[in-house]
Amino acid sequence: MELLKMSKKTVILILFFCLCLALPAASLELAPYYNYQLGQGVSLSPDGDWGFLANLSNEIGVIARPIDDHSVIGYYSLSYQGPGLKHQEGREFRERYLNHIFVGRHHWYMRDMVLKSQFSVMMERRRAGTNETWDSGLYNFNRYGGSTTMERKLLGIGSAVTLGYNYVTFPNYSDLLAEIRAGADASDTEGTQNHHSIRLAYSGNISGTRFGLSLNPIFYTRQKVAVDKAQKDGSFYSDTLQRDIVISAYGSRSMMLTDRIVSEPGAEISFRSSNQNYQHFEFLTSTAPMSFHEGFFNYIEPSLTMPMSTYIGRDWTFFLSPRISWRFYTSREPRDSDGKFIKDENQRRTLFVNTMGFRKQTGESSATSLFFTYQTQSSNMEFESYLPYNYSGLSMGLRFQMEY
Amino acid sequence: MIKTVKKLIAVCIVFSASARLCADVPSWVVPTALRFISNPDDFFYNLHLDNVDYSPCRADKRVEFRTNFLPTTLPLTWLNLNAKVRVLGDGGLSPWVPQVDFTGAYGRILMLDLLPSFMDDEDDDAPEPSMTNYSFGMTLAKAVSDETSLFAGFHHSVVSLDIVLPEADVIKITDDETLGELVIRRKDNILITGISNITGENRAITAYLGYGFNYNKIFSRIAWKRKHLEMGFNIYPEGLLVVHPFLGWKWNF
Repeated sequence: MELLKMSKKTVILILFFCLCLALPAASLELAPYYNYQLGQGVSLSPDGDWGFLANLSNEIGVIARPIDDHSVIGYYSLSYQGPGLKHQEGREFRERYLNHIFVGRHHWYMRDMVLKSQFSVMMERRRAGTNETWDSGLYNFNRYGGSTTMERKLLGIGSAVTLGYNYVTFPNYSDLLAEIRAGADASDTEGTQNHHSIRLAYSGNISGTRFGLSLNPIFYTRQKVAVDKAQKDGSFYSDTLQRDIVISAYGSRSMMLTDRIVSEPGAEISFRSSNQNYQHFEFLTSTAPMSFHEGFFNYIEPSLTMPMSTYIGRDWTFFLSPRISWRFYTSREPRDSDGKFIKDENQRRTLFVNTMGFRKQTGESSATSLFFTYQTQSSNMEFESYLPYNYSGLSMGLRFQMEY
Repeated sequence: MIKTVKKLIAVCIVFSASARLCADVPSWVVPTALRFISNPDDFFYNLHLDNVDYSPCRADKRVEFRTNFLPTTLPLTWLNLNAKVRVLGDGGLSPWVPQVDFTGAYGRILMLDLLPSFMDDEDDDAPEPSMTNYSFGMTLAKAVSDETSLFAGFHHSVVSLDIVLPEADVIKITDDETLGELVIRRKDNILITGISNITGENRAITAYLGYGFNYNKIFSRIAWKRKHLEMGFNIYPEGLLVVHPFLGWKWNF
């Protein structure tokens, strides 16, 4: 009987595999895709604490062309990210993630245009504490959505316009501190992270120079906006729901620096604007706010990247991927080491991440990489009781990959 | 009652002693043992997964028998046999039909079966522990090039530790309820997806990733295969011991 009690995920996966088998049976033109990756590494913090990292991922897909001008793609990915080599629970606990992603996509090739439509489902299970199980994670979320992309030449430029929609739901989320402050029960904060997200994007390509612009409004379904004065119900939340908008622009150019070195330098800038504000409480368990901060979550974030790779002999590749980003909050005062807000100054941070390593092709479909990552962040935020804002760290590891 | 407790402790000591290699006790043993106590079925289940190879039968063979030595037969005396039968060849009915294998596995810990006979005396029966594992399912495989094939499978897997108390030592909980048997059991339905690459005559490298639906369990295996010898390691990111090296032996017909 227990075999019959299969979960929805089981049924979806079995249907997916049946589809994979049924499509070939219909004598379709098709191509399978598979990618397996296992990464194991260690990280070293400035305090000398060693941590172990593991990354397991598995992607399977099939592309079928049932009739001319149409192709259908089925894709499933399962990935895990968390501590590796050593069991890290209890005091040594480190956060870990488990993701399932299902994608169904349709491509329609027309005379001067390609129309790509897809639906996707993502289920992320996250263990943020040693007492959480995979199904009870506070930050578990499910994302359902779809998008349509039209690719065609506009004004002589290869262009793509995308319209997408996602609904993200956090089934286990609640905010204990907010409940204490509001004197409410769990139902008052349940679902406050759920949101609708719309994405409108344009991307273009002129002879290897790619550029794009995207607009991403986010509408929260239950999260109310914090206000300065107590409302009739005694809370500091108005009836207005939170709305965010993220606007991004980017550009990059693919270049052959020599006959062996390939690079694609790029730049991006993002603006985030939210109608949400911040009520500051002196202690985590305080019920009376100390100060009110409007526009606390608004920022501008420019970034630069310069990935490059070079072939060394027939099987070896050296890769380097530096990225630097800055975040400038427009209305957020930093705090000193005692937690007091510093007036007439805005919080900012600089983050630099550089990954480099060697990759060796060890067979027709297998490769092994040795990688090093250096990460450093600096900020004028000096209050680090809960989160580090100024740190640097190093990690290194091995990644094994089999792909077809 | 005290005798029963002593016997159970003896079973545990013998069982755990066999898992160690008679070395000095390192500092990590005690916390590891405590973590084992908090979730014993997961550890046994991982050993069960060490025993079973979910990759398909070789395309040019019809039957495969396989047994795993490390870390189960040695040092735990966990005898095991894994059988795979190719019921349909790749492209046998039509070019697109994959290879279809039925697989099954069974194992039990010999030392636990023999333990009562060492502990029995005329006046007092001993608890009867037994540890078994079994698995059955189906694997589909498709060659995508001369050297590379992809596979996927669905399997039902069970591991079970039973300790039956002698009648005289059955623990009375209430007037109506007694405790006569301790059972640690885990059942799961597993989806496997993987890739196999032939690297030479009688040589192949295989990698797969498995997902257990009942416990959201993820695990992986990378194996280097020769004609008879198989070696590699299993990864259990959430396991008590994350990396399990393994060594197996197989016969193909």
